[in-house]
Amino acid sequence: MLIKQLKRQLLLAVSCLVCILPASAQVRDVAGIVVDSGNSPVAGAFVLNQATGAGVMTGADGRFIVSAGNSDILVVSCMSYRDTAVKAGASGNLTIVLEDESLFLDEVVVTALGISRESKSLSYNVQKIDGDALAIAKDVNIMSGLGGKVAGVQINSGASGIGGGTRVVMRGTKSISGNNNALYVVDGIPVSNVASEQPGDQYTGAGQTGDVMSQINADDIESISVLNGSAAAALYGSAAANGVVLITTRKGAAGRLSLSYANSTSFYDPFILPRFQNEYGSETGEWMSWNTVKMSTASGYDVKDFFQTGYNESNTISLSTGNQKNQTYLSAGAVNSRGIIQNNTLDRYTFTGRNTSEFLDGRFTLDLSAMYTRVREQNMLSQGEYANPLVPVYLFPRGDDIEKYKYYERYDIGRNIMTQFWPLGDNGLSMQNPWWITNRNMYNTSKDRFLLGASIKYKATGWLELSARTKYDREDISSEKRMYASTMSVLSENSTRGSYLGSEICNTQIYADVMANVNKYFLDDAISLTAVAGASMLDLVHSELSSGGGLLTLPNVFTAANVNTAGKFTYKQNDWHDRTNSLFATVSLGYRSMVYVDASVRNDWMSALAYTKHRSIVYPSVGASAIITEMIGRKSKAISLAKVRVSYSEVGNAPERFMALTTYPLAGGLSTSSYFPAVDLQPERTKSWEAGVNLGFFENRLTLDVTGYISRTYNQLFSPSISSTTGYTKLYVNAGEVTNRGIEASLNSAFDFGEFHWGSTLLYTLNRNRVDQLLPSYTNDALGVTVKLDHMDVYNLGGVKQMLSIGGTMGDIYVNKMRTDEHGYVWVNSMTNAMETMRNEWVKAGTSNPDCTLSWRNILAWKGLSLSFMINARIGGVGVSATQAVLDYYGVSEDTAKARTDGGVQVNDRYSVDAQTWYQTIGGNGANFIGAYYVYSLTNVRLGEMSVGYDIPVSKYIKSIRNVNLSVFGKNLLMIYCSAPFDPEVTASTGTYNQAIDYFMQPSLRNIGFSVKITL
Amino acid sequence: MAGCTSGFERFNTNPNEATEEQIDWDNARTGANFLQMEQNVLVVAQPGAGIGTDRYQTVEMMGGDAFVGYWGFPAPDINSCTRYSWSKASWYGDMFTTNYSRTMNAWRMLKLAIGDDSDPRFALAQILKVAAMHRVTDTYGPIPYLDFGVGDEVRYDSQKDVYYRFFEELSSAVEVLYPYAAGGQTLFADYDCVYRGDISKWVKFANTLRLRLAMHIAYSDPVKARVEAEAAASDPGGMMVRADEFARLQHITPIDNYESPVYIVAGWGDLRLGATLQSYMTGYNDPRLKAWFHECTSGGYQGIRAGMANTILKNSYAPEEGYVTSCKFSIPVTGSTADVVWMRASETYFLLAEAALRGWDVGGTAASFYEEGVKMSFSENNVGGAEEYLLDRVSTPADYTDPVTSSYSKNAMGDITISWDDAADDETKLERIITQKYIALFPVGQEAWTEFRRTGYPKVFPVCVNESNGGCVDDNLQIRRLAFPESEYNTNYAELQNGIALLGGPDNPGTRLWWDAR
Repeated sequence: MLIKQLKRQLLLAVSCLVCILPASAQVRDVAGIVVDSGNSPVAGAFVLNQATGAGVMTGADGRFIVSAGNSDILVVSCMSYRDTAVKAGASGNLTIVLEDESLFLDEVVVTALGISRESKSLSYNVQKIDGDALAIAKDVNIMSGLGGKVAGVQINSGASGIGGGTRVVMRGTKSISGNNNALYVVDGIPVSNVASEQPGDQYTGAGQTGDVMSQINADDIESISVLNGSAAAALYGSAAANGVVLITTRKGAAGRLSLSYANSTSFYDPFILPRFQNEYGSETGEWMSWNTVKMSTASGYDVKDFFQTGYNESNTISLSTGNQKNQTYLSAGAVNSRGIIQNNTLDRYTFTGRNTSEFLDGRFTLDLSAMYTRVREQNMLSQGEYANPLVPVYLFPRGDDIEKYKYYERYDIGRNIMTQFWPLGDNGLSMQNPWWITNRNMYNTSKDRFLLGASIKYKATGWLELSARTKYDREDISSEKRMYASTMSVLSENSTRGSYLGSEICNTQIYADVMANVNKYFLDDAISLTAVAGASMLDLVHSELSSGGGLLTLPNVFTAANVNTAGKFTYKQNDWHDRTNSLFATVSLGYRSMVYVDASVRNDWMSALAYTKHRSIVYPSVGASAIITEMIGRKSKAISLAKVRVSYSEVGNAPERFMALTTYPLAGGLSTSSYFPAVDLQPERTKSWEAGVNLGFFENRLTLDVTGYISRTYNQLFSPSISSTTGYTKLYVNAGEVTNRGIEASLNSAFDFGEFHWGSTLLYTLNRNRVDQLLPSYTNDALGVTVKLDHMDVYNLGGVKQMLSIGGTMGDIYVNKMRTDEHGYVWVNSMTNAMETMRNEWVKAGTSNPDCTLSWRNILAWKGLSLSFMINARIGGVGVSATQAVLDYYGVSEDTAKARTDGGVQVNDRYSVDAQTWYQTIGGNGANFIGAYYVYSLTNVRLGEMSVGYDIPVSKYIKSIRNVNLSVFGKNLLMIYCSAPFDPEVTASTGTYNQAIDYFMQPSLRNIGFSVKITL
Repeated sequence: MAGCTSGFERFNTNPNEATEEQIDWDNARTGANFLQMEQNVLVVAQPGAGIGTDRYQTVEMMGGDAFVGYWGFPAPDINSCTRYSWSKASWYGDMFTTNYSRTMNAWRMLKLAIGDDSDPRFALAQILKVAAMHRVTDTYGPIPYLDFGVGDEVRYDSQKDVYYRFFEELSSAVEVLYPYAAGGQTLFADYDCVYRGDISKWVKFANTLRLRLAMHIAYSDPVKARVEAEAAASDPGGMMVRADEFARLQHITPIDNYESPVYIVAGWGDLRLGATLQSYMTGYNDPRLKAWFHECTSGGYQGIRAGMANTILKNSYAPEEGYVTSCKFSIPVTGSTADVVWMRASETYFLLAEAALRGWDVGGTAASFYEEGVKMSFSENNVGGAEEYLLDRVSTPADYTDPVTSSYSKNAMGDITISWDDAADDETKLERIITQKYIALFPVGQEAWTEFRRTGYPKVFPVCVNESNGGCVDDNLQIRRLAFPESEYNTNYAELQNGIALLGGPDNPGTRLWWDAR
């Protein structure tokens, strides 16, 4: 009743206005109420009189009073509602209805450089994820919470457990030798993300560290935009090729002070483990569990007992306050966690402050922000033999009792120190007492990061805005590696007293830009123009100093003064300085909200190109979109939106520094240079086409976004070996081409049945990666050598390797094999029954890239209760488990027990080969296994996430509490289908290669927890 | 737009390395390249070039050292070199690639920087070049050499042409240097970590090297061999005849911080006494063994056969990794600052003994040179008892017993005794000379392998498991060379085909080299 009345009044007011418009000039107080579509008052909405710049905030009852002339336009804005403009009118009492932003396609999204654009005007795909939807289960690394929530992006968590880095590849890997991970941008400005060294062989993997996305508090995030195509990212020019993750952080909101507290508590256990046996034991003192007779009682040994329940305790308190001219957001967060391997811990403390203020009648806006993060990581393990407790734990002789090794150290009377107890030896796999490893092979990293930002905007006129921004980003990383006395000598640098390595890294990035923004309508608002022109500078300085070695005088005194400098002494300094200066401009022209044309250009001057012939590089992009439903003027209920779009762009990937000028290494004495200087060096260039449609049905309750793309990446950097008879071992040359083509689609639905709400998102990602060209014949005239690469080994682990070849993919996996006859049967010597391994014969097993990935996310809500779940599927791709090969070799896998029980292994369906002979032929004591027997499909389907939340209606009883939400959640809850003995979605390395190869990787985590959020 | 790129050249210059301008300061360009050549004759760790001690392991220990049974390896992977199946293809190519990218590259820089081939500094560089590169041709056969640094660098030359060039280079270097040597002058004293710039010692080294190379071709080109041997022996500059004249890379500034490769690799648990060396030295009750190896926990010395099967576990041969206190198999006696030996004075005497045996005029008899050689070897190792040792007419090499894998036990390969016997036939005399030379050369296995291939002595235990491709290596003849590196196939294919043609046989480890003509 009331609504009708109000609506009528509003209508009346508007019609009156039309009549008396010319006469109005009088300023008076206008009172009104702001309500939402359900007619509930909206508190904290900001009402701005555009004519005078005066603004007020609505009260808790949604009411406001503002002085305005009759013809003045009042703009009402409030978070998660669409901005609404009305004329003040002559009536004294306005009712302004705000509509839910999510109902409109012309929502505003944040695009490159932090420029807000109406999504309907975009000619490329941008996917937006609200901070709240990011994850209820707060992963320490934000990106791992994004998995399955955006199309066209492959997100693999690193195997290093809580807080580890992630591998985020958008629309396929493009760069053969460079970086393939997405660029991270916070509030429009790239953050430095100097990659840590990734495990690249069978030994390394202990002492990993997280990336920049492990340093940001998820509670501070307002929303994330994913620009996975290069057209969307084009304004980042030479950093854009891999796509961009744009993070928008929270700001203070005008209105009454709001204080919230969020807690999230998770518990972890290993998700996927190989299958072990405990029926067949070992001879005393033997490593291998190859007895042929079952133990009278199965050993109680269970690998799972080694793992502990990990946890993650995350607490954030945040405060938002402000009036229309000045808003402040403050937050403090703490994460305290431990991993599933004993003594693996991570602690993180974050502090954020942000203030936005307007002055000089709202013409100037100043935005100041500061963030500080402190991270302490201990013993983050991803894979490999060195300092990996999983190797001895998995292989432990089944006839032995592991309990007695839990007292991992014993007092050495002669030395007056505790030394390792481990009579079993390392057996060529660097094995030590697992608890000695976790407690006495220590890898500690501490990081301190400051981000200080300031931006100022000046509204020159109604259509022109000038802005300047700067950000200082400094990260100090200090790591220590402490190996206690009696640690195996390879790790203790040959010293019986232990070893120490300390390193200090500092990354300092300064960014500054100036921009002019134009927003203007012409010809009776038929033509809209949005344009930005600007200049930016990005300056990144990296310094790194590490030193250490075996201990000289005292055991277990870990300080540089105690290091034997005459021994195997490491002293390494690695400094560099990169600067990119840029000019950029982008223009978007729209015609009656029907057709939009886009163009952008960026010119980069990069210091890494100094001394080369190519000093500045231009990156252009163009695009167009048409909203057909607007054009034909027919917006039926069934088809509420139809939009088509197409774009073309050229972007780059940062070139390598220091390659164009010969310098001479000094470590251990001056040395000749191993490479021929690359004066013709060019940055990689990716040229892409993208086309898509956006369809909305039933008032956009059902939407379908489909994008198809093709990108070709040229100027790949190769450093082929050249005949050492030239005196050099390599040269640098640009060549090659990698193509990615694919489809990404999302189908969203949101339906309400009375008070029951059902939202569902189905995402589909398909990418085909192809190496079209490596290095065709290239002759270096100065050296007189010709080089050519039609295949290229990029990772090798004994029985498996990753090799690139023309026509293949960047994820191709090759394995070696047994000698077979012409029928494909294993060749068996008819006299001796001996078989032969062909360790240097490689056959292609497939690619580690998926055929496609699917995820289906659902939210069911009823009143304050909600249930959400996500099912993720990955179809296709193969991987190799070297872990399984070693388990087989040692007779500890379930397969070896079964073979013994069956009396042998059937080879060629004919010969019965003794289980031990067979598994010690195909398996390996280390990486020397026969890969063909350890190839697994990576297809898997899982219940990826599930949560139940309840908004407890406490506000009914306690007015001061606005909202209390309680959720329980789980991640990686159930593997519905997976045939690999490891989780195909975790990766040992977050770099380009060493993918889908498991060599004692830390298992992925299953996570169950609860969260509480209270807002006052 | 100039402002856009100001400072860029400075940013894009690696601040942790030296520029072209800086390396001229304090004559580092010549001095450092000279030192780099020295560091690669027997390759030691060079952190600036990313070369670790594992390179010495792959080039020396897993090459000649292993093929003559100086060392035995507990680890299956390392043993792949003596099964002739190399777990990593780069291993058998390391000798080749290291010498070109390190030795020859530095030599080219030196040649350019000096700019005058009659400069005595260039003469020193020539000696180092031959010292390094004869090991490369002795390993692979034909190599690119004659045109390097002057023309078509990547072209292969026959081993004969390379050897003839070696002799020319050594004789002209000695000619250039002799006046300086006579005047007691020094060169590169700050950089030279072999002789601290003492030119007279460089001349002696060059003459001895010339004699070594002459003996290498004694079967394939006896006329040339005799001419060169006699010329070397009569050169006024003299040869290395005193223990303190021997050539070795020392731990002195500016490389006093590198660690002895034997020390490092032994620390990795990868190194034990080899079965062949054990058989000879324990059979002879040779007191030098005590100076080189630790006794096992159970007493006595125990070696490991070459080429143990892939299924052998490292732990069963090296259970406690690295530590001397408990071992089943003998661990080398090492120190982190032990020198890397190139060539000893004792070798001079054994070379002269063989030359005298062949009736060449080298100023002495085979018997006296043989006995001088043994005595010199004892004194080089600070071991007494050489006189007594030389009187031993009965001791013969011992049988080998493997306490872990009994099938690897094997009877001694030969029955040659120690004491010189003038009545013996020339073949026996040759075996005696080369056998004692084999012991004296330790641990310079590359040279011992050359002598084994050339003369057939000493009698080396065949490898346990021969995994050579298609059986290209004969069990008894054993390995004759290494195949050309994979990188040459990938990056210098056409020239390599000419190289293989010059080799005169398939590019596999069973093909004999030019001087392997017996």
